[in-house]
Amino acid sequence: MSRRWIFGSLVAAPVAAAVFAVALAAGEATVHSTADPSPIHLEEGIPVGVLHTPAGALAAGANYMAVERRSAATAPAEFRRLLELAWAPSARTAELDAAQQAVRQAPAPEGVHLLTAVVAGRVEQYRSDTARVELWSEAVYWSAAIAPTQTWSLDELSLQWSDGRWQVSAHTTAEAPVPGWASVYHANDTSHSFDEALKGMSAPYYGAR
Amino acid sequence: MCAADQRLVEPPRGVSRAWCALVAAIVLVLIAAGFIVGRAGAGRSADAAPIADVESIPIGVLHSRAGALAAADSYLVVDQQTIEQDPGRFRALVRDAFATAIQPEVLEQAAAVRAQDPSGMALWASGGRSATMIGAHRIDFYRDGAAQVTSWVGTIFWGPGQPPKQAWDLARTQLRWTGERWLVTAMVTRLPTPGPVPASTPQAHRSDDTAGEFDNALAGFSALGTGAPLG
Repeated sequence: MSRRWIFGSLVAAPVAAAVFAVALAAGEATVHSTADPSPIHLEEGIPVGVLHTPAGALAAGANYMAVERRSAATAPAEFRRLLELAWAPSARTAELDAAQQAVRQAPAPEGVHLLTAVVAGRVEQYRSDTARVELWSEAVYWSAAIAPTQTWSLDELSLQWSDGRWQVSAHTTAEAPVPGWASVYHANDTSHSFDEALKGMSAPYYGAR
Repeated sequence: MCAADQRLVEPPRGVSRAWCALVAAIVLVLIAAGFIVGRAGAGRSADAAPIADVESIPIGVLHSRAGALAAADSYLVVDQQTIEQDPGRFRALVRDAFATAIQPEVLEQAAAVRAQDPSGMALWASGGRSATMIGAHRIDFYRDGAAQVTSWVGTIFWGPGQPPKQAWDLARTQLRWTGERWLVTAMVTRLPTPGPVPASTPQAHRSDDTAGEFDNALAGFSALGTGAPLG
C-alpha cells in the first residue's frame, strides 16, 4: 500500500504541477490581452523604464531626467534612490559627484519649490540592449525669497538594458534652445502666483508615445 | 485515469467513485488557483499602460486616479497640438475622446478658434512648429466614475519670421468613465486665472535662440505628448 501510494504520488505530482502551470499561463494571458504594458513601473515612487523597445527607452530617459532635475538639488534621498534603481553601477559615482558639485556651486535655497517638464526627445541610436536618447526639458524654481526662475537643458543619456530595465550608463549635457515669453501679464510671474495657481500639483510621468 | 488508479489501489467500486470525485475536485482547485495567481502575478510584473493608441489618438483606458490624470494630460496635449495645425486629427480626437453630447459644440468652437487666429494659422501654413507640455497637474475630484483635472500647460511655438516663444495657461478637464475609457465631458483650455510664468530665464536672450537654431538643435525630436516632429 505504501509503495503504491509513493508511486501514485510520483505520477500525480508532475500532472498537478502541469495543470497548475497551464492555468497560471492562462491567467497571465488574460491580463496581457486586456492592456498594453506600461513603459514605466513605479518602485518606491521612482519611475523605472521597463519596456524593451525604442519608445520604452525614450520614456525611461524622459522620466529619469525629470526626476533627476527635480531631486538632485532638493531631495537628495530621492536622487540617491533614482541612481540605485536607474543608473548602471559603474555610472552612479560620477553622476552623484557631478550633482553634488553643482549643488555646492549653487545650493538650493530653503523652502524652494521645483517643477520640471520634459518637452521633447529623440532616439538617436537603438540596438538590441543599448540606446542613446536626447531630451529637451525645462525646470522652474521659486520660493518666498526667489522670483520664479526657469532653466532649460538638453541632455543625452546612454542606456543599457539590464535586469529587465533601462539603466543609464552615461549622461552628458549640452547647451539648450531657450524660447522667449509670450504670456507675461505682470501679475502671473510672482512666487505668490505660482504658489496659488499650482497648489497641490505634481509633475507628470511620461508614457511611451 | 480512474481505471489506472483502480489498478494501483484496487479499491472497492464505491471508493473508486469517491476517489474520482476527489481527483476532479483537486484538479479544479489547481486550475482555479493557477488562474488567479497568474492574473495577480501578471498585474505585478507588467503594469497596464494608462493610454492606448486608437487610430493614433491616445485614449485613456485605466480606471484609476493616475489613469484619469494621464487621460486628461493626453487629451489636452493633443487638443492643443491639433486644433489649428491638424483639424482632421482634432476631429478624430473629439470623436474618440469627447462625450457625444458635447461633440458638435466642441467642433464649432474649434472652427471659431481657427477663424479668430489668422496669424497662428499663417504660421502653421508656413511651416511653423510647436510643442505642448504639461508642467504640472492635480486631481480636483475623483468619484463615481467622474474626475476633474487642472493642468499647467505650456506651449512653445516658432517658425519662419516667428522667434521661439512660450506661453503657459491653466486648463481644466472634466472626465467620465464609460467602462472602457475616459471621455471628456468638459474642457477649458485657458482658465480666467492667467497661467503662472517665470519672472526670469537666465539663459534667454542669447544670440542663438532663433527659429533656425531651434530647427537645428531639435532636428529629429518629437513632442513627448503627441509624437509630433519638432524639427
